[in-house]
Amino acid sequence: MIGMHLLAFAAALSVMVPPALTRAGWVYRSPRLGIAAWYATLVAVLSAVVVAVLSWVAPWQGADAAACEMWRWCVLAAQGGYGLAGRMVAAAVAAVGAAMAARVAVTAARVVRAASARRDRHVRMLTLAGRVSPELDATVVDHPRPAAYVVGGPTRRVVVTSGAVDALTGSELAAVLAHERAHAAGRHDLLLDGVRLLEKAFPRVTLFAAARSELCRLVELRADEVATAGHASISLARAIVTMATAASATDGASRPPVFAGALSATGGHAIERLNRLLTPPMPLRPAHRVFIGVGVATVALVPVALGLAAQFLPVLGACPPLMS
Amino acid sequence: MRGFGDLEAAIMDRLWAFGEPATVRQVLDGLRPGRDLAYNTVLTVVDILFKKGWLHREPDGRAFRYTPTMSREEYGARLMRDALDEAGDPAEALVSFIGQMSADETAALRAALRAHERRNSKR
Repeated sequence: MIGMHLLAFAAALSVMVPPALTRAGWVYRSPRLGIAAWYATLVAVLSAVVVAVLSWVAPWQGADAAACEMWRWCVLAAQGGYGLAGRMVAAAVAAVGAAMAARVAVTAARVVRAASARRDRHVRMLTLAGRVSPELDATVVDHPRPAAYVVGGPTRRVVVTSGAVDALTGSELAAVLAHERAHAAGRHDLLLDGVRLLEKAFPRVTLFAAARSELCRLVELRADEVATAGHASISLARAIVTMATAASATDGASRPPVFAGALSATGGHAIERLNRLLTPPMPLRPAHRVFIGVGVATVALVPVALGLAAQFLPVLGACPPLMS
Repeated sequence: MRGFGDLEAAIMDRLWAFGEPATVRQVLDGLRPGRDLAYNTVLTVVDILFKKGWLHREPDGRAFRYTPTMSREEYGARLMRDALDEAGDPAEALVSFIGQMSADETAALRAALRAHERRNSKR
């Protein structure tokens, strides 16, 4: 009854991982491993559900795993061995699986289309109204508010406002642009798109909401880390303070009150980023990093590996369920 | 040149720099240095920009004079609204350097930086 085990595994991960990863010191010290760990968790949970549904709907092994009564029941039910009721149960499992897959597909299509239309419009406007600055290797937009961002999508343009160019010193601006280029090079827009998609498709799954908010935080820490490899971290720290101050001074008063949760989230991240730049944590030792990396990869691969093992090693498939 | 994108940008650039309604001929003369462009190409692209709503035009003899519908700064403001609008869909397509913060939060940032710089100057 591998399906039951996998669902239990997925549930356990969904409950245990978010608080553990949010607090883990190694995530703060190596945001890149943290990002990998969050994605490994998502992959593990999603693949566990998929393999579980497959194992019920299309039992590869046939009925010779007779040691497990539930397993046998499911197989026979799927084959119609239990008559109408059994067939309906099997059909219900298949329908739930198909409905979930359809939900992801439909949401994906809608979100991707809306996001790419928005990006295209933004890029078109940038092309016409922005100025490409060869020395900055970025597009400059005339606007007093200091800001810098990357437009997602295949082109990944780095954009900076004239307000930021005026407010920042040369080394600060260079550090900010390096931060944005790190987002672009790391394809952080795709990382965030993936988890946003899951959150939209399954808004009640708290794991996805937690993953989204933590990934937003971790890509910033990671981009800071990349930027400070080539620039003084004090420059980036000063840029954060300057830009935050100027942004709240230019339009903070006229801005309608922003949803409190979103506000404290960005503020909290900025303080954390600043502290991390001013007092950088010790990097992880290589052995430590390898250990965590292997652990992360294992978590991601467990469901599929178990599913395959259950197919090729009948003994495993015949294991009695944990909860019986 | 990828499509008309670069030429469109160059034409808008000329018209903003020009500061008053300009004919296609004037735009072409402004673009000439370094570019080998036919009058008809520029006319076509100007017409595209007009149809997209980036330019409006007034008749001048048998031709038209064109002006940008919005200033560069106005487009900048629009871009920023699109990019940093956190009240709506929080900058979904973008990864932005820093989000909107309250005055208390920016004060905390400044204090942290000042404390750090004081510590370092004492050493």
